[in-house]
Amino acid sequence: MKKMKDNRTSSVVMHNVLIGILAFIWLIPIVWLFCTSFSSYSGMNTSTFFPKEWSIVHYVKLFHPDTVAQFPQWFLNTFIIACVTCVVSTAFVLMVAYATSVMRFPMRKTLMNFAVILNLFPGMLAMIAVYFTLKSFNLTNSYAGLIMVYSGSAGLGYLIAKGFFDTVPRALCEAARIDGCSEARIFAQIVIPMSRPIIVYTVISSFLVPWMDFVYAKMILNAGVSSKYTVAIGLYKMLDKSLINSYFTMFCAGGVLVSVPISILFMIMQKFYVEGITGGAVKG
Amino acid sequence: MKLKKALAFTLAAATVMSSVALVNAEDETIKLTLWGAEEDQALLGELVEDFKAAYPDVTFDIQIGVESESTAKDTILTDVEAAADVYSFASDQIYDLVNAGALLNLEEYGEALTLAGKTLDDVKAANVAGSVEAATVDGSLYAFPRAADNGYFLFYDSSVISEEDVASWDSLLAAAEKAGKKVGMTLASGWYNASFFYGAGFTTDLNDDGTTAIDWNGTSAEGYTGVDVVKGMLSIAGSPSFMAVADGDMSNQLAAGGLCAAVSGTWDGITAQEAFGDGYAATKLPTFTVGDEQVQQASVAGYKFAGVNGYAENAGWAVLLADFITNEASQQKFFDERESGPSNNTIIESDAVKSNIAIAALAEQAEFGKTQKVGGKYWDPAQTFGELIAQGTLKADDDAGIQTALDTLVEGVTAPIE
Repeated sequence: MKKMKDNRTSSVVMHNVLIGILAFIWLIPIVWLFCTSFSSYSGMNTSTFFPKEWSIVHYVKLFHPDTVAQFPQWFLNTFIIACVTCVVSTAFVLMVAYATSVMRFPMRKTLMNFAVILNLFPGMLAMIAVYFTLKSFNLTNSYAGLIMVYSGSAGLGYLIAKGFFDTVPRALCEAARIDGCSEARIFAQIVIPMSRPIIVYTVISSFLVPWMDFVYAKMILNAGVSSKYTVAIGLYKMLDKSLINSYFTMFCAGGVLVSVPISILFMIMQKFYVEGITGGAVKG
Repeated sequence: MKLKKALAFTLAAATVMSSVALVNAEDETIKLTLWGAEEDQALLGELVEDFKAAYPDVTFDIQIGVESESTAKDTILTDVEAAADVYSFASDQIYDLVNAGALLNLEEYGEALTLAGKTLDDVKAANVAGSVEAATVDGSLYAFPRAADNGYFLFYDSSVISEEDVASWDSLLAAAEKAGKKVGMTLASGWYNASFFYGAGFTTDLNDDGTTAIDWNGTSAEGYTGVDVVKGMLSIAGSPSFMAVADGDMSNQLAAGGLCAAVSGTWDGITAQEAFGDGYAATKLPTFTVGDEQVQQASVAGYKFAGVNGYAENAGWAVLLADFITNEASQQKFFDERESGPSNNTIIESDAVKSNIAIAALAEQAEFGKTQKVGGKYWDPAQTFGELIAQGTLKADDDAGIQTALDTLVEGVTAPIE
């Protein structure tokens, strides 16, 4: 009897040690970035893991823009783009998911399959075509163009949200319909309030797309106007051969600050995440 | 009758419209865009104001954008039409830019310079011959030289290494070993490792179809074999006090403090100064051993140019602007404010330039600098080859192995472009 208990204890210990090791490995780069951003040396120096001298001077510098680093402006630009994209693409995803999940119409299956297959192609394939299309409408170097690119195909990623909507009891929708409720009201007042976790998921993932994108932003914002950059392009430019010696630590500090809005967004959304799963609507 | 009246009216309207257009054309603002490196933005803004002041009768609308010289080609070739009218770029990008039509043939627009009171020949005469040669493709000048500082030389710590020690790699490495420090150089890059081959008289050249001609697996004009050059490189790379530094990692290694000498360029000047303190010194590259002789290590002479976009709408004014930001006065400002090594002959001769340690060393090395004419297929095989040497995969006593590696390199570099 005792032996069995020992076995169980040792396996719990083993599991936790394994998880601990994995977490440690996974956290090294983040800890390094965080520590390095507090170094007082501006260039790159990897001879020690922790900086030799600690200082917050590069965070201060980051908020005093010069011609190279205009971090507050970049941050604002990216934030605006990300917020608009977040709203537009969340709306797209949820509407497509609702239509495919709750409504019945001809070609529904075909369209769904088509959308999934289309979404399987890497978006980068269309990059050149997207660029020249935008250029012909004079939308390059504009945030409108970028937002369109980020949110245009968002609806294709409806599959997960649809899966969630499928779990909303059909009886509720039918009852509402019998009472004369319009499709829009069923969507807004019945299905949406019951699907908080998936909305949280959609909002976070739609916010992250523009927030983390580099390739499209670099391609579309190509007029070289530094004050119009997004954070990703701006930070990348700091790593140029002639700049890295004086901007590397600021780059790290920028990298740390970039994670702030995502963390805040997640903390706000987390509340709904839990609520949505536990709150029932249909009484047994 | 009615028709005739309508026609007359249309014609009259058209005449009025066109005369309006003509008037507009006269006091139209000249729109230009200018791209330069991030760190030069403030200075470029100043120069643009000076440019406007030099032509008070003309209204300009000049936008300054950011594009670093080292990445200009990649950005510009993505969409040449969307690129700036005047841009700065590193000299090794000129062939690809010319092929893409991204550079204006200045010989055809030389007349524009009469407004600035000079000719294209004046420009050519004002700048060092090497820079003009590098800016010339098929006999025509395609860009204005602005700086001659895009090359590499040797930084060293004079408190550890004496002036005699830096004369050759052998004495340099021996001195470093005695001090328990290392000498760093990037081998895994076709830009750096070509210096050994160029030094021994080997060449690369660009063919008309964009392929590269390379003779490193044979015997050079000076009678050295490629195998001997590689053996010389291997004896350097195999030394315990040599550190093969990854491309772009030099400033990091300098700051880490393990180096007492490094092959790099002006961009690492400040870091080297901090690392070596009072011992900070710089000079030309050392000699290395080929067979039983000492051969001066060459280098790739790199320049920074200002070019005019082939699609520029106001090409004439763009040429004038490009000339303006590269003329003697502007280069002087670039040197004063940005410590950029000038290509202008008069400024190079000035005492201020001669007393700048890094730029003086660059000028010393310039004598052995070669213009690197290579196509796009050169870089990857040359990098791999450098890695073979850096990692010690090749053995100095294995002549056949070295020859095979060189043959593979040449085969890769000369591969046709599909």
